[in-house]
This record gives sequence, C-alpha cells and structure tokens, in this order.
Amino acid sequence: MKTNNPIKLGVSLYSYQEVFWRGDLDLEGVLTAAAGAGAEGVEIFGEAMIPSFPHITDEFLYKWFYLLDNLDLEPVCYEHFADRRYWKDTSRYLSDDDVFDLTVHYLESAKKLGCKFIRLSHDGHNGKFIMNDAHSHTVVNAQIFERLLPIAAELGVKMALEVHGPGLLEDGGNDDFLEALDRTGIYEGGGLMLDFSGCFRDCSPMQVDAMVSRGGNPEIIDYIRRMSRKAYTFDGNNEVDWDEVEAKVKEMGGGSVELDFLNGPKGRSFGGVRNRLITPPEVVKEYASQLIYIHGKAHWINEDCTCDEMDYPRYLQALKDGGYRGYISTEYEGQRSVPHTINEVELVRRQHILMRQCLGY
Amino acid sequence: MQEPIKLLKRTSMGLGANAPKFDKMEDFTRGMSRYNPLLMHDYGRNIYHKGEKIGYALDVRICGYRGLPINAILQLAFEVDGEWIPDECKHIWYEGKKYKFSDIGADKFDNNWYWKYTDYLRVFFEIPGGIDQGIHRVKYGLALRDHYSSVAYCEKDVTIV
Repeated sequence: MKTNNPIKLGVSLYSYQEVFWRGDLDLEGVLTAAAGAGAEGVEIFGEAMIPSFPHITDEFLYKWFYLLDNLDLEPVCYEHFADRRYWKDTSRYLSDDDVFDLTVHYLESAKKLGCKFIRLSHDGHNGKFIMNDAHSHTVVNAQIFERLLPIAAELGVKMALEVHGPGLLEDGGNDDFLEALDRTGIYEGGGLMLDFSGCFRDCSPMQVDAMVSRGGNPEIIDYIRRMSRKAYTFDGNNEVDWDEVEAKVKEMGGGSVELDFLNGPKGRSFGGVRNRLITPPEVVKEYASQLIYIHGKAHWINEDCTCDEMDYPRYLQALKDGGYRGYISTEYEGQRSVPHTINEVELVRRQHILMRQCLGY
Repeated sequence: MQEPIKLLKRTSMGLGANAPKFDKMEDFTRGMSRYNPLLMHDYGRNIYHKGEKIGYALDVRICGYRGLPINAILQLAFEVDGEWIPDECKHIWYEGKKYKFSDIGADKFDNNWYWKYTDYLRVFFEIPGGIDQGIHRVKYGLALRDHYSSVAYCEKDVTIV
C-alpha cells in the first residue's frame, strides 16, 4: 500500500528464502506475503527468483510488473553479487574488469526491473573487517566502484554500500568508497546503507538454544543476555562492569560456553557480549540523512511484536530525527540457523507491526 | 590522469582460509557448515541401460539463499551405507545435459549455467550393477566456491528404487 511517509517499509524477498526454496510459495506468493505485511516496496534476488537469471526475459518483466501493480507494491532494490571463483585452478578468478562488467549487467537489470538501487556486494560490507582479503575472495572494491559511478548515475540506479555487522557505519571501513564519491562528485551513483545487524543488543532464542545444546546453562545465558540488553540499550542507565559480570558468571558455574558468549571465542578479532560492536542510536541519527537505503535485519520478534535483539523505538526515532528518507526493507534471516522450523511470513509480519508502531504509522 | 584510489586494508576474518580438502564427510559437518534435512530427495533410482543397472542417481539441492553457477560447485560428496563415493564415478545430469564431475570448474561449460535455487541436481554414480533396491543411509556434503565459501550437509534414509 503506497503512502507519502518519509520512511517507507519494504521487504527483501530474502526474508522468504526458505518458504520459496521449499516451493510452498512462488514469486506471486512471496510478493503477496510482503503486501500483506503492509510493505510498500520489495527487494528481489535474481539468483533465487528470476528463472532466466542472469538474463531477464520480457515474459518475466510482464509478470513482475503485473504482480507489483496488482499488489500495489513498487520495486525498490535488486541484490548484487560478485563471486570471482569458478575454477578448480585456484590461481584463476574473475579480474576487476570482469567484476566491473558483471556489475554493469546488474545495474542494467535493476533498471529493467524498475529498481532504484542495487545492494552492492562490496569490500566494505563488513566495515573495517573483510571476510577474506585474498583478491580472489574480494568483491567490488573502491576502484571498481569509482568506475561504475557514472554508469549507475546514467541509469538512475544507486549502488547501496551496505554496512553489515561486525562492521559499523562509523568504523572507517568504507572510507575508500566514500572517497570515490567525493572524488567524482557523482552522489547519484551510490551511498551508504545501514543494516540493522550493527544495532543489535542481544542474541536470538535460536542462538540460546544452540548454546544450551552445547551444554550452556540457560540461567547463566539469560543473566548474560540481561546484562547485554542493559549495556546496549542507550537510555543513560547502561553502565555495566563486565569484570563483575564475568566473576558472577564464574560464581554461577559458567564454563566455556557461557564465557565464550560473554568474552568472544579466543583468537577471534571480534565477538562476545562484552565487546559487542554496535552503532548507538545517536550515531545512527548523525548518519541518517546520508543513508540511501536500510536493511531491517532481524532474527526474532516476540509474539507481542516487541524485540529483545534490537531497541527498535530508539533506533527508528533516531532515523526520524536524523532525517532519513527512504526504505527500511525487512531482511529476516532467523530461518538460516534452524531450517524448516520458523514461519518467515509471521516473523516479517511481526516486524512490520513493530516498525509501524515505532514510526507512528 | 588521477591516481587510483588507495584501497583500505581491512582486517581479514579468514573466511574460507585453511578450508579442509572436503575429501571426507567430517569436513562438511564442522565450522560454519549448515545442516539441512531437505538438501536431498527422499528417493533415488537405479539407472538401467538395456535391462542392466549401470549405476544409480540421487537428487540434491543447493544450500544458501540463491542459485549459483554450476562451476561454483567445489565438492558434491556422498557416503552411501558408510562407503565414500569416489569423484571418478560421479556425473551431473541437469537441464538435459550430462557432464563428469571432473568437468566442473574446467572450462567445459559456461559460468552462466546456473544450478537454480529451487531445482534438484541429479548426481549419477557410474557403478555397474547399481545398488540394491531398498532403504540406504546417505550422507551428502556440499561445498561451494562462492565468496562466503558455503558448506552444507544432510544425512538421511533414502529409498532407492
């Protein structure tokens, strides 16, 4: 349902990945689910939902625009990937020129689909971290991005630089991409995108179950979760002495599962409740007017449409106060850790109710 | 002409580094691997040629949230009733085309030939005599070359006809 709200709610069809994979809902079904949740727009994954991918046929476009029109939805974003490795010979991989060419194809496809954005698979995705810095494992770097900017602007499709946990908007990990924007001045070609994973204050019930199955004590895990929510709910009353928490965890009989949860697995450069990487709402507010798109990442929303994982009221208020204008598209992914046990349609519905309540819609 | 942008040095999380060889089933059940019981069809079939069983086939699915080029397959591993199936026996049958497993990632077909997200890929084991009809315990492991270095596995009883 279309509105004039400055912040619009959408759904990335990624959210329904499992129900689509199983064949319980087809493209029409997942679009109907998005519309039923109250979405105004949708993001589509070509690799999952366009049968002729990487090509888009006229027949598909006819169906796509008919369905969107009928459901009163608009196309928002087309998901981009830039895998380079397709050979047994590990010294072979796609060059930067190849990645440039394939990304131009994504931009052209996005335009065909009527999307305003591609979510660019880029090396700043995890901010100052990168999954693997070997060239063969990298995706779009800032040099490729700079070359793409005039093409994106010409096509009227922006490249959204998603910042996803453990990366943070403010960690400097996208400075080379922002430099490309400043050097060219082609701000119509791209910009920063927030993923809610950088705003999480707590884990999900599925992660709790996983810890319990590894021998974790539910009471101790619950205590650590309460401390996590206290520390990362930025209400001015969020001081936590982590050494005291650790001492209490040990006193309660906590072992490696609980201590890894608190402190992070040994030898990893991030992780653990104590060192949680989170962008506070005040910082989100500072960035809000620069953001071009948002992924509303979520793993669990309670039955009453509240959420432990993230402080929605404060973050959505920060986006409003900071002047964000654009889409928040639900990116539900709680299903990935516990296959075939979660009702994705219901979880998306709950998150939309929660976001509408916070935004006053 | 402007100097190219100096790329940032980011802290590597090492994903995909020190990956195992994926030459035994245990390599598919550790680390970031995801278990999914529906990765493999409940039924398989012997393949006959003029009345003789020339092998048998299982139908498997891709993990993750998208289809990928068939050349992105790093390993399709199987253990049937505790027996590891060697790569030399394996063939892929998909969309009317047949290739040896060793043809994957070897310039035998285009990188735009996708294993679609919702499709089963048929894997044929060229084992003369096939397998006895009945219920067999099958383990399936999948490793992909995508930049997440995705790995998944499944173990279940499969009825082979």
